[in-house]
Amino acid sequence: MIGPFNLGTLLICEGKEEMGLVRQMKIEGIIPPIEITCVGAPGNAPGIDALADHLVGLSGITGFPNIQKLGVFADNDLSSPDAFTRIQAAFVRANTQVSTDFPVPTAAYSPVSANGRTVSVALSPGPGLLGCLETNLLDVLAALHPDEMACVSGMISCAKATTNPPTWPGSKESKARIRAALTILHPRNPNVPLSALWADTPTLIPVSHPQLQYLSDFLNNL
Amino acid sequence: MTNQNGIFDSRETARLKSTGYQMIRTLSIENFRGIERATIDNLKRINVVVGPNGTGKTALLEAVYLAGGNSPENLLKSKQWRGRELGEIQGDLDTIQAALWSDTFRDPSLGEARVAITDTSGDVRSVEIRKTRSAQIFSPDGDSRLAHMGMTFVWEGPHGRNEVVPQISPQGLKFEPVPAGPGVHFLPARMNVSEAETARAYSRLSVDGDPKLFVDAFRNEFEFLHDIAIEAPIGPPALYARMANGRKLPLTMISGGVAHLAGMMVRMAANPRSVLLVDEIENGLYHDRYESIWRSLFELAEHSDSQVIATSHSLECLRALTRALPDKADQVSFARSRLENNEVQFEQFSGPVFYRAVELGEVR
Repeated sequence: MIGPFNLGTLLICEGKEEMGLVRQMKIEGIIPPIEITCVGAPGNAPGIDALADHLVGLSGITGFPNIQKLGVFADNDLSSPDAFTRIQAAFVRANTQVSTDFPVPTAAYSPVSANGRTVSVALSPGPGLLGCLETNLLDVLAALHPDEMACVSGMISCAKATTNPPTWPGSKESKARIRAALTILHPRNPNVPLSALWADTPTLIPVSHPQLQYLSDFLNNL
Repeated sequence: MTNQNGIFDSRETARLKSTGYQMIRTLSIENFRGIERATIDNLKRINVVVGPNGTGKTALLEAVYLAGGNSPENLLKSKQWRGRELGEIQGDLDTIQAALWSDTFRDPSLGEARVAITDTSGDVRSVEIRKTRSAQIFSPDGDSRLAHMGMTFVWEGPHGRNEVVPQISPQGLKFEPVPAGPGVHFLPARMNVSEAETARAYSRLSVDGDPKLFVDAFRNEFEFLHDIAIEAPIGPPALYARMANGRKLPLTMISGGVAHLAGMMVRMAANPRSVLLVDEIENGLYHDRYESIWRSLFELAEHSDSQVIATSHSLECLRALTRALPDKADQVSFARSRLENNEVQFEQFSGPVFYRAVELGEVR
């Protein structure tokens, strides 16, 4: 359940996976205490397309007036400009329905302030890179578990998952690789969802890894 | 009209709408109880107020009750419902006067409080409570223990002006009988619904209208109760119902929640174009009834063109409201009280925003 908001900074994540990772960063003290939510209430469209509805709903949550800094953490997917434009449009649409006092962001990684409130946007797997959070995590796993990740690559290649119809879009292929990697690397619970990974086994993909530095830098400067 | 439970017909609705008052659109409060200044706008058919203790929720209801009534008695009743003893008044005149001012005004030094309600037709009805000098007065029988209360109440609205200066006597406060005001009904949180008032409302409904409206709505919630009627076997009249085991009991003896709900429903049914003020609406009601109760209250309110303003501390109850009336968000308003720099503030939200927020999380 979201709220009540007692802190001054809120991060809205595109999915539960991003939220799980950021929560772990908070637990380990890598980032300061912040409020964290994720888009995707029951009945909403999946992913960032539900951001406008989410913003409208958040405005009614107890303590929302305490929020002075708002961050959005989403995926670039196949086009960073497209991903950012969808976020921008969500703020415009939300501001036509409620007065949140939060300005419309103008560019990723460039905070914009108005009315004493600041909005910042981070897009994974990092500035200018295509893909998603899982793209970062695959890099972490490749560094820490090269043998197992070679097997994952072999499986993907063997199944021709990237080339056979239906083809896997880039970010979906990353998700498939992560799913396969977690199955191999987490024998106690091969079904562990990525969203629950850090609460279950925080050391498997350490959130302090340099591949995730861009995110902790962003969150430390919200 | 359409209604989910199929209780009402359109002719009866049309008859009720030809009488009574418009719905309140805007409420403004100045220097009343703990509220320095507040405006609640865009009130709807169903209005819910939430917030921590001591942030002005009950004061808001009392403000509507006072402005919508026509007598200082409403102020005294609301004090009693808060648990204040209203027996004999003791002390010197200055002490009594200071206590009354302190209870009523946010800042007694300002000298007056004002509550105004604007209805959907734009008419404004207001009450001003003005601080005046207390003075010993003599009654016709020479009793010099009477005194002016130190406050003057002035109601103004489309139906005229009414000024009342209550008097203090050792037995309590006295005031002249005044004409009845609009239909504003208050169900307090701390005390049981008045059995006698419920019986009177039912009687009025029986004489002037059709008790079937209430009975059907009530039985929709409590199917195990039937044969509802006013009885007075050993005391003042009260509303009774027969239970499944054949025994007929006063509603208050069957269950506090049953009596609470009957109190709400019968007042709505018996008072077209009225305002029902309910403090802590969930009190005494079992959680699995919330949804159905909201639906019934809405249908009764719509049928009688009335309005509900309720406070709540229950997230379950708030969620039940959105589930009960999924396509009525535009007929719901939501406000949250809070203290900011020690002053009461009300945040307001439209029904659609409230619906989205309550789906996400904590809205109390």
